[in-house]
Amino acid sequence: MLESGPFVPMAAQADPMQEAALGGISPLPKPPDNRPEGPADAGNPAHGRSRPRILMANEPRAYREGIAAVISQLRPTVEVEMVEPNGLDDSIRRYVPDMVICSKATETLKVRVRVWVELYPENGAVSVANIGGRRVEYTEIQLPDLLSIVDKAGELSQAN
Amino acid sequence: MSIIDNTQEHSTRIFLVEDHASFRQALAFMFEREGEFAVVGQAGSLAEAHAFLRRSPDDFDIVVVDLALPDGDGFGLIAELSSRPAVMTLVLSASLEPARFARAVEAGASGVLHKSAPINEIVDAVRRLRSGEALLTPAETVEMLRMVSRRRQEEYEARRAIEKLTPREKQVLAALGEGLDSRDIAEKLHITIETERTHMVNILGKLDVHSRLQALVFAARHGLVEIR
Repeated sequence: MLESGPFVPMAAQADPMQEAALGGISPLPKPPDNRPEGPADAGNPAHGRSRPRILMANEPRAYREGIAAVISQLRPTVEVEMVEPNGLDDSIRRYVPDMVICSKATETLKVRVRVWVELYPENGAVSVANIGGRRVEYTEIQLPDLLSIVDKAGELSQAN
Repeated sequence: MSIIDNTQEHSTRIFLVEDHASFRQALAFMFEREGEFAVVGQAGSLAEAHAFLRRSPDDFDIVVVDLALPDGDGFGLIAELSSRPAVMTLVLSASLEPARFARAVEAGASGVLHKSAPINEIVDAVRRLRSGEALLTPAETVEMLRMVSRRRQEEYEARRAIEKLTPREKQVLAALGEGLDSRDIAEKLHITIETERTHMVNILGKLDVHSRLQALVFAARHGLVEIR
């Protein structure tokens, strides 16, 4: 994980999935049985802004759906919405997310969203995150990294 | 590489080979939550996959393999796995090239899916494979094998054509790849424009193409020139 610019460095992280897995312990909780599939019903005004909103517009679709499902299950207080990448800017205006995961950061995203992750742009290995103004580069981003960024987005959302 | 001791009786044991760790971990999570699957290992590269195979040679039923891995493509791994009758391989790839899917099938893959597929379709594909269902129809398999055969024949003919080129003709092609026109190529190689044109006519004939542009595309496709 690399830092650049005037951003606060984050400690380098080992591969917690692998470490835990080698020890025979899954680093992520086992998925609960009989839980409804899919993201929360985002966009429902009844939710208000008490729940952090995450917009997922990354590709390919399997990545988007798989990661969204994990976030929805492990962070049930978070609203997750999935859109096609070409609908990212419109969805940002309509949905006003606290965090976005996409494959290519747009100007609208950079201006309007405080926390975002450019996940595997150009299908490469490096991912870039912006966490409230801090830019963090991940050479091999892990699922726990994404969950940690989700938590940070939630904290920033609550702070406002 | 991960070796995870979460095998359950009657579970389908899955080994995941995928370099994008966050997706691989999410995929593992998706399988695990189904209850009927146990992800017994994860690898992010061919090296990690081979290390797992050495350590746990018989501990899995299905391997989900990405074709593009940091230390090479997955075709060799698929071929190696196809020698194990009890193991089935599902290819999951971001590539849009049908020829790559076809090569995977030729290497022994039991199924191929693009990563633009819904995640539930991937989980279901593994379930279908495990139940003995074929993901590809015989007609699809035959068409893919034909595609590989055609591609191989084209490559063979291209190699034969390239072998016919003289060193001087290869120099002319290389200069063409630098974006030079006839006059510049002639100047660079210290030959007359007429000689350059003679070389070019010969090149077009040997490569069985009809224009400088086609010759350039042929040369780039087969590694004769590097376009920068």
